[in-house]
Amino acid sequence: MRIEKLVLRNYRAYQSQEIVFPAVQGCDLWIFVADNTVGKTTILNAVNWCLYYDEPHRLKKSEGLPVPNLLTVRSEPEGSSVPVKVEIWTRSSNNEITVFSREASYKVIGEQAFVQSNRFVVRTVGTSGDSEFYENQDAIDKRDRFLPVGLRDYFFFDAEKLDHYFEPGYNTAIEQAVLNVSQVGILKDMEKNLEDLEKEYRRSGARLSPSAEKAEEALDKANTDLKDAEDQLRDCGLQIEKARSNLAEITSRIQGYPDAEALEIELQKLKTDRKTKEDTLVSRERERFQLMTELMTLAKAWPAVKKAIDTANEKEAAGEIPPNISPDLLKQILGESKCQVCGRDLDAAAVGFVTALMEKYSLSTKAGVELSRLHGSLQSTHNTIRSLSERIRATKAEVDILRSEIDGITARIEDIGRRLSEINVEHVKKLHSDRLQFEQALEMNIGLKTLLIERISTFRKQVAEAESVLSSEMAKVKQAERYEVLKSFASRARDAVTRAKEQIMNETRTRLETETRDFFFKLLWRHDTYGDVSIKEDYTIDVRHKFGFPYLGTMSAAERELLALSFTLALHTVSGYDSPLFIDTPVGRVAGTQRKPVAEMLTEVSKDKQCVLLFIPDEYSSEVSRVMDPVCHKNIIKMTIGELVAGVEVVS
Amino acid sequence: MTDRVYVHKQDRQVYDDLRKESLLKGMHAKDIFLLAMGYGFASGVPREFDRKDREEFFWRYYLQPGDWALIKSIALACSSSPNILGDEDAVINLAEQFAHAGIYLLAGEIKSTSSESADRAFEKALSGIVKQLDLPAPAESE
Repeated sequence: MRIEKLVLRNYRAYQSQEIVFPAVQGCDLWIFVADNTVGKTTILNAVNWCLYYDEPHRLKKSEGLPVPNLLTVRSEPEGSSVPVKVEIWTRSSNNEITVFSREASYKVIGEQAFVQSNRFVVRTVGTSGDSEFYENQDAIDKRDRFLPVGLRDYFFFDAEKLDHYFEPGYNTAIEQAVLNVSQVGILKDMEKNLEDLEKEYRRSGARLSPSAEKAEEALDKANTDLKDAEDQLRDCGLQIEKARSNLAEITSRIQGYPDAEALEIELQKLKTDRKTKEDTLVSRERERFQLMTELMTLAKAWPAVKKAIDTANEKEAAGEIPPNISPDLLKQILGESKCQVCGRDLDAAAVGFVTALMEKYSLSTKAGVELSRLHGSLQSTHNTIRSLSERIRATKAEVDILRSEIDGITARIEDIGRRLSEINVEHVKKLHSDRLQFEQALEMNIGLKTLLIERISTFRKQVAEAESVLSSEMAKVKQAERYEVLKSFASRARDAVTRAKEQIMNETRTRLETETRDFFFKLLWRHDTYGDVSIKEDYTIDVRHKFGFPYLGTMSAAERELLALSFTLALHTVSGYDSPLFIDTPVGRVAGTQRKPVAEMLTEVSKDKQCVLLFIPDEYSSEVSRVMDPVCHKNIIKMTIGELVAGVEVVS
Repeated sequence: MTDRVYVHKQDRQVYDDLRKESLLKGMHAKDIFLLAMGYGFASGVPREFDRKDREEFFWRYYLQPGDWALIKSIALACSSSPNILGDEDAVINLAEQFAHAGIYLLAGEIKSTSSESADRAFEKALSGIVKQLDLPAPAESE
């Protein structure tokens, strides 16, 4: 089934627009090119609005704007009604025409419009010209035969979805898709009903005995706790997977970038270290200069020092240096004729001795004392010089080491400065800060997971114990037997339904796996790299390199998009719905040269299926246009009338 | 007897300038005075100056025993009699005359080149004189 015509009346930027997709030979490929916010995605939203009465691809900035065209809203008087209508004309392979039509009426208040009525109808026209009209649930059933809401995300979507296809938890989405395609909804409902029934029988039986009722309540609580913990564990596992995936992505993004934050911290530390070392250097230099000055002073005066030592030695040898006796004391002794030390009176001999002592020394006593002292001081001068020289040598070595260290630090500071100048520091810091957050989230969730596993184990034991207690209590009550039989029957029935549901889903999964693999290898441009593609029982997609190792994490963005698209196309096939493929920004996430294979792939798909692709001009680059221009039907969307009305212009 | 050490008025500025040089930066006036005295003594010619031209430079009590030993050695070397040692004023006066002579020699040696090369030149001169006098020498910069 393909779309032949879209009719938009007062729907957002489109005041009155018909977009036709006439039947074509060859590629059924339809390109729309428009700047952002001009009305490209509005076409995708119009399809969704018509069929499902929602607009899943609206930009945040357009939220709050009324659905009716603004120009129409402004031109209508306050309080009047504005009709909005979108029609999707489709034609099946057996030429039956189906028109899906939604018409809503909005009441205008200021620049706002509030919905007053909304009607969805379907009209079919058979090949013989007989037409039928459907509304209400019949119309919805008819729509679901065209494409049920649970699958529309695989037919009408933004290509960003393809880029995020294999993010953590994607297997849940795939499982849901398999569930939808398998059409086992009724089995799922049965499963739930039988579970409730089983619980109800158990409860009814337990009510017959207070102790059994108590045991049943305990079992119910243990089951609830266990289920909550299992849900938490599942969520925790998903968070771990997400954190790991984000960490891997962020790590790959910051590869080659230095850790700006760590560099800045190191830079600050280096600068502080350098300052400390420079201060120490100044201090050591000062010390060295001081020592050098002292040594220079000594060296310059050394001849005098040497001469003084010689003079002192000569005078001492000649006995000219007087003993260290105070001349005043000698004078006092002679004057008083009494020894001032022992108090004895001086006799003539003693007076003669003291007089001779004073006369013996030709030097003045003071000079003699000074010379004697000087001699003593100068004896150590040579050692002082040696000590100064050694200290100068030591401080010099210290200064040299400090200088070398400062040079090393300066070189590192310059290197860091250079590296920081080459990067967008804030951006890299943000990446590193994000990585830290993911690391913390991972660590926290790993801890939580361990805790939850322990709790689940405890709750399982509690459930087993509660079941045992309940069973024992129930056995005491004769009337409970009937409920036990019913409960057992419900339980067996539920198991049977579950097995049937799983079997159908497994079959669907296997078919999807085969189809995905076929599409992937059919559309793949690097045949020599890949070995196999499979969908595991947990609905994760496993891609193997031809040498056998896992390859999903290594695929390029374009290859990931190809895989996601292959899965989407497989879903189209397996589901039996042959609705068109409607993709917004199909190469938005794919870099320059890789756009070509994606363009080739979509062109290839369009040979068997109508493809409507919405591009912004940058996206519809030369790599894409060279592939698609020769085979596609190109339209340009432009804004007119004060940027309020969009118009589609057919280019080719 | 005075308790100060004097320098020639005109020398004050030279001392102040020298204390700004990296080699002698922040050094005590007494230490630069003694160094100048050493330079003056090595030149062999003290320069007398009149009392009216002198200016107080630092207190004598700043001089340590080792400083006195040098000053007195120079006095002794220049005097015919060791009795000069008994006259502290005469000893200091001689030191002041040598410092007056030496400060210009010191300034000439230190200020003739850039600060870094002056440090090197001083270091080299020190090494040279120490070797010449056959004294224990410090290592010289590369």
